[in-house]
Order: sequence, then structure tokens, then C-alpha cells
Amino acid sequence: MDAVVRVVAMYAFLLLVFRISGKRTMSEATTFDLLLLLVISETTQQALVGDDRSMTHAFLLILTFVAVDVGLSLLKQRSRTLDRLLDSTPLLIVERGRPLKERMDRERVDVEDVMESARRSPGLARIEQVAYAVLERSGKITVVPTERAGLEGPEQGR
Amino acid sequence: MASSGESGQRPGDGPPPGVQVDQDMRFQRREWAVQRIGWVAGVLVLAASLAGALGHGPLSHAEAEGLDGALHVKYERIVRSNRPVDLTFSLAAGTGNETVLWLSREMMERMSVEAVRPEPVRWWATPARTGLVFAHAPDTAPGDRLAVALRVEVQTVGGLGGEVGVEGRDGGVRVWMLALP
Repeated sequence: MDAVVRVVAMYAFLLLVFRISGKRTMSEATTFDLLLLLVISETTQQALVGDDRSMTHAFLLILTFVAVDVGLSLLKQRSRTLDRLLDSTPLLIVERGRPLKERMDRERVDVEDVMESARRSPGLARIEQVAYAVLERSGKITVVPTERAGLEGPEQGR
Repeated sequence: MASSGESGQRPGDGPPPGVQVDQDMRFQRREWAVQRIGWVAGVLVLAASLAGALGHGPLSHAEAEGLDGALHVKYERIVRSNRPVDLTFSLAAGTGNETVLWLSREMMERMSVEAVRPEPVRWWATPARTGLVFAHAPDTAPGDRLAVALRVEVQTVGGLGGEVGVEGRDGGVRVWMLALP
């Protein structure tokens, strides 16, 4: 029982922390983000495992994590409100080449982040060639080019 | 675009034309507000933690003394479950060759004693108390202070209250700890 309670508590805490920290937190796989992710996972592991290093305990922890995750995904399918609460909504941050500054500031995104995605895919050179840029629920930025940019259509950014 | 007259809506808040995005600016603004509250709460928790509100700090340190001064105890008011924590006692030596420090049953039931310094010469237990018997050094005079440290681990989560005292002296000292998970 202790293992199940620990996993549920840890899952809820991590979900809360990462929802509060915003969409962009750890959405970029920079070297330091990777390091931070490892440190967090190591810290989490210690709190979950405690003194019990048995395989039974490990099985129970993994099973509970997967069960909580699958259970929540099923609930999210049934409830749009829960889906938004847990995963947020996408946000338009550039409209017809015009950066929406207030939204970008609140999400800690700057024009250079948008252009990094735009250069990578669909290969745009200037912000004016961006019809729309969307900060997705995953924290990634997707770019839709203008028709004049001479590209075929929207492609996934980072 | 949604009309700006709609409650809480601003120009540009509606779904953008030309791209299918499930954008909801009212929800998004509430999310930003909750995030800011969360950031403040996080900072407050960190500040409280530095002050010892989650253990190991000034707010957590506690001391208590018996009415007759025979026992003085220093302990942590806030501890973590299954983590070692020290209780340090200053006992007034009795008239015999030994002094007994006792802990009430409700304390002993919910924590384990990992180490005792100095080692007691023996332990005893009654339904209400567990006693640790310490032998006096040859030059110990009655009333001299003996220093004893217990390293304990609280095995449960939540409030833990109990009494500690010196055998043969009036009353005990009430100790209360909060064990965090």
C-alpha cells in the first residue's frame, strides 16, 4: 500500500510542479535541461524506493505509475476540462508575422525561440515569413509559413 | 475573432482564422494567474524550509525542561519519517550509582532508537515506560548533569506526542513532534 501511495503522491506533485512552472519548462533539450531532468529523476527515485530495494517493490512502483498515467489519459479523453487542466491549451504567439509580446512574455518565449523553430522547420529566414507560430501544449513551438514564403505548408518545429 | 464585448474576452482572444488551434484565452489567463500564485507559494515553501518549518532549522528546534529541573531535553519539533534525528538530554544525577531516563510508551511505539550515547548499562520496560539505565562515573555527585543523546527514527507520519523523564523525580517533560512523510 505504501508504494501505491508514494507513487500517486509523487505523480501528483510532479504534475503540479511542472504545470505551475509553465509550458516551456524543460521543453528544450539543452544540456542543462537534461542534467536537471536526471537530477530530478534521481531525487524522485530515492523518495519512491526508500529502504525497499526488492523487485516486488519495483514492480509495484512501475505498475502504479503506468496505471495512474493510463487512468488519467482515459479520464482526459472523457473530460475536456480535465484535459485542459492537466495538459493546458495551445497558444498562438505570432500572428501574420507579428509577435504577440504579452503572451510571449508570460510564457517566457522570445522571438529568437520562434525563429529557431522557424529556421529548423519549415526553414524560414525572417519573422515576416511566419503566418502563425503556436506554443503547443508540449511546450514546443510550431510554425506555419505564409503562402508567400514559397513553402508547401505547416511543418512541425522542435 | 470573438467580440470584445464578451465577458473576459479581449480582441484577438478567439480562435485565429486560417489555422486550427484549440486556443482558449480565458482559460489561458486563468492558468497564468494560477501559475503566478504557484510561484509565490513555491517561494514561500522554500523560505519556510530555510527557516526550518520542514525540519532541520530554527523553527524546528525545541527545548523543554521539567518543573524540578532534573531533565532538560533538546529535540526537533518537525522531523521526517524514517530519517534519523537526535534527542539530547541533560539529566540531574540521582543519589545512587545510576540514573534512569524513561520514555513513555506512546513515544516508543512510534519510533525506533537507533543509537544511544553513552551506552546504557541496561534497559527495562513496563507497560507504560521504557527505561535506559546509565551508570555514574565514580566522581559523580548528586545533582551533576549527565549528557545523553538518543538517535531515533520516527516510523510513522503525523503528530507524535509523549513524555520523557528521570526515574524517581516528579513528572515528566512533554515532547511533541510532527513527522513529515
